[in-house]
Amino acid sequence: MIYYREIGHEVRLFETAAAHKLPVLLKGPTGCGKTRFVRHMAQRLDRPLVTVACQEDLSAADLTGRYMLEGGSTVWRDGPLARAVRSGAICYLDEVVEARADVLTAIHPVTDDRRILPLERLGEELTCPAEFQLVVSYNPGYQSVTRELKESTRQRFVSIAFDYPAAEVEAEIVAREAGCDAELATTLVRLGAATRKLRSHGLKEGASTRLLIYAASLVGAGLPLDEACQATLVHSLSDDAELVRALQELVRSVLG
Amino acid sequence: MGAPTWPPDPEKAFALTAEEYGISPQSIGADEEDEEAERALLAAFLFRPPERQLVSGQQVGASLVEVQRCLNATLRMLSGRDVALAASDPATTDGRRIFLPRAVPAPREDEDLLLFRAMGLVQLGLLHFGLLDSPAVLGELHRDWVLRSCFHLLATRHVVARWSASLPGVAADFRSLRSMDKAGIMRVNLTEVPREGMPGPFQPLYEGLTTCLNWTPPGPEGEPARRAVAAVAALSARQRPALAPQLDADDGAGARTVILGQAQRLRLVFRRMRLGPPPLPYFAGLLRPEWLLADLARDRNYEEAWRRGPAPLRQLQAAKARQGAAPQPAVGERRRPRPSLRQRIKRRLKRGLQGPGDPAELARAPAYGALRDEHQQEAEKQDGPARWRPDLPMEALLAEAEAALPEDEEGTRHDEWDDDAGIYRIAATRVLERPAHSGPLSSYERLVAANQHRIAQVRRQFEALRIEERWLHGQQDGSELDLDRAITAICDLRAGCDPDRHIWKRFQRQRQQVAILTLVDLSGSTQGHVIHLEQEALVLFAEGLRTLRLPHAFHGFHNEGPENCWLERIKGFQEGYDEAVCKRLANLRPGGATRMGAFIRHASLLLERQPQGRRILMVLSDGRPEDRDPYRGAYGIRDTAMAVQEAARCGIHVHCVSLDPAPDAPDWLEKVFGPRRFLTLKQVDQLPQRLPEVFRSLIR
Repeated sequence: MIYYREIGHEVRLFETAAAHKLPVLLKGPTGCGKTRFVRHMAQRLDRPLVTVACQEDLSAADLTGRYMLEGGSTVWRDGPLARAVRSGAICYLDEVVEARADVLTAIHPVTDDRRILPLERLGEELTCPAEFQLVVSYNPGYQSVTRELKESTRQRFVSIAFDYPAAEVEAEIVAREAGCDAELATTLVRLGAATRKLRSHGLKEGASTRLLIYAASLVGAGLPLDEACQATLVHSLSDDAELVRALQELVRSVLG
Repeated sequence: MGAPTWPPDPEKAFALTAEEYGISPQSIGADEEDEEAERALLAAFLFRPPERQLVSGQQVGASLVEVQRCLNATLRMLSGRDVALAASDPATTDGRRIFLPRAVPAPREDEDLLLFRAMGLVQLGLLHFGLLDSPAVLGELHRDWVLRSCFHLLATRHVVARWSASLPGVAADFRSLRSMDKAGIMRVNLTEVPREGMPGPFQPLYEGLTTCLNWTPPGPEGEPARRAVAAVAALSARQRPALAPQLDADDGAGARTVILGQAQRLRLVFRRMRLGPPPLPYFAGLLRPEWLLADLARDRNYEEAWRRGPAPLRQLQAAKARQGAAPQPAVGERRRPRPSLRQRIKRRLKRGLQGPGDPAELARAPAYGALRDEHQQEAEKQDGPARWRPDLPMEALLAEAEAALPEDEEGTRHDEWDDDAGIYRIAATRVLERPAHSGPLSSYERLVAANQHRIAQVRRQFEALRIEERWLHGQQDGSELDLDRAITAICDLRAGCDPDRHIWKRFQRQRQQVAILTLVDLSGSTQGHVIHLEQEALVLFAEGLRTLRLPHAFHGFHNEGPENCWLERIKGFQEGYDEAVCKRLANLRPGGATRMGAFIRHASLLLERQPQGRRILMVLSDGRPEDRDPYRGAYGIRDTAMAVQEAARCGIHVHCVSLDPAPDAPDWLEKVFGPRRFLTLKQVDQLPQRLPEVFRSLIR
């Protein structure tokens, strides 16, 4: 089973939504465990998982499917969404706000009570089986007005808000994932929590749990702690010389 | 004056102090018993004032400006507090800001940042560990300088121990202060005092503080200090967190009490020995209880005002009284015809400037009032108070008065959200539009000339945003075949389906479709440096927006009460950059208050009229929403938050760039504008550069 440490009641909420065939929206800062959560839930519910990383060139046909040439004849190839519908999988659209408007419109029929996926080219209309579930995620930290989820899309989902876990829990996660001792994990979590205090004060985001795990992994691989922190918690967070200096000072203060 | 000695000659010290600082024995208020000690204490002022040496000439170490941004971020990360740094010597705090010297003493060393950080951490720790949170304790400290210095020494020890326990790197920094001479300069206020010949109780306490946390002072003279230091060390050890994951602040009540008790015991010893306050090491700075007390008092007043709230019963009674006196027209009902304000002002100027008259009927026109006062003062200066004759030609007066008039006298009424009552106060504010103050074109030309380099940079940056360049796939016509689509079409054909004919792609160069309105705070608090920076920022931003060819408008705002909310048009959506706009852009005139909610509502109305799909409202302000009661504190913040929500419901993205120096600014900004929808600039000088950057990040 893929490791996931529950923070609140998200597992119960997700299971309930799945039981009632409701689509789920996960929102939270980068690297806080959204994707891991979906993978964990897919295993827990014993369903296949189809993941799509959304970007602005992704078209509705890329998602639903298209005809392809194969040995002189044409063959219909399902897109990831159609595949997920047919197989009763969880379809996970990661960073959904990056997708174009036509993609978001294409997912509307599977998110309401109709639960159908029209494949116009194929002349077919797929009815979603009970096991199918649509999950989307995004990071509300975007400032851009062009990167906001429309209300008409947002209100089709049950939302689960993620944030970084409490310090003890985060230390437990880091220790478990990187295979390091509790002391190192606690120290890294302290550093991570301190960098998050600069959110909206120079940094767009503080250090993610993922970065803390990277740091612990580098230390586990034999790198000195200071060097690992420089590579993950300092230079990955900012290019601003003054902030980099401040982050270095923080690392030095905490590590000694 | 010769080399300073310790203890100084009281007579000489007192005479020189009195002369230099204008202090008389009566103003000290010391009783006879303490007079000698007070004189010794005041002698502290005698010796060379370090600040003058530190900031003049080249003989200084690193300056605060060099390290400010890095230090600010470090202190915030270590404590989670938003600490605003400001310059003042000695280092101190007023509860909201941390003051550090403009520069540390010469010679310049690599460790100067370390010294700044140590000073910052001491002041931050006093706040963070709750040692200064009690008005009662601050009152005690304010009354007695000896007690204050003893408390400060012991509190600094405690703070050093607390930080060191949590942060090994900080512990090493404090230890390394031992070898830094300038960190150990001893001062009473700004006066450096020699360590040689220091009375017994000072030496061990001082040594114990700066040289080693576990130092035990020798000899019977050091006994009181030793006991105090031991008590504080025990206290620090008890409160030391065992590798706490968070460096949380605590209420500090226990520590405060213990330290104050020990300080009082030391004070008795010093008084018995007829000694003045112990000198403090340079890095420990100074306590200013009076600053903190003022701050606490202000907070209490705000809380009290908010707790009282808008008092619905009182409002009802007032409304009834008003109705009895003169019936108010219902909202929306036309008032009875009367001469326009413009006509009345013209009449008044022609008539009233010859004599005093009754200005009450025109009191609603602040521009007129200001004009009248100005000329009255001018006339009084020349002819004495009895006569009041303007010297300017009547035409000039009329032109200025007319320019200051609202374009629509009735203005636009907006509701105001009363969060306490949970209702909108209907039509509670009136926004009047008028052109912003104009001035010479040379001001604009000077601004442009001074920022040529920046303007070129902003133009380049905005040029890159001007056109949205991308391949449009699946087009009916285009420059190249869209292979994916073409293959799909062929597949469809062979499969017997009707193929999609959108098999071309073309390169699109599309203009961004965004309308932007910038609201600029012109309240009285922007007077001085801020208004100049705002003008500079607007000029740069305007250059960028011109490059982008986006529809945009700039409006200034300030108000005098809810009835006179002035929205001053610097550049309207329909205006080009003609001479009139340039003159307004570089000659903004501040004054009045910040009833922000009304202006956001009005700006939303203006933006809604724009056809563009995306609309952005940028708010540039230097403080929180504030006007006369009840529009203070939480009331103003909640109304403004509601106005922002209303704008969001209309599809308007509101973003704020704030110059508010208050440490809690991000808190209220987040409440009002939402997370990540604001930027606080602690260094106001960055405004011209950052304003265009913020906009770029919004539309990128």
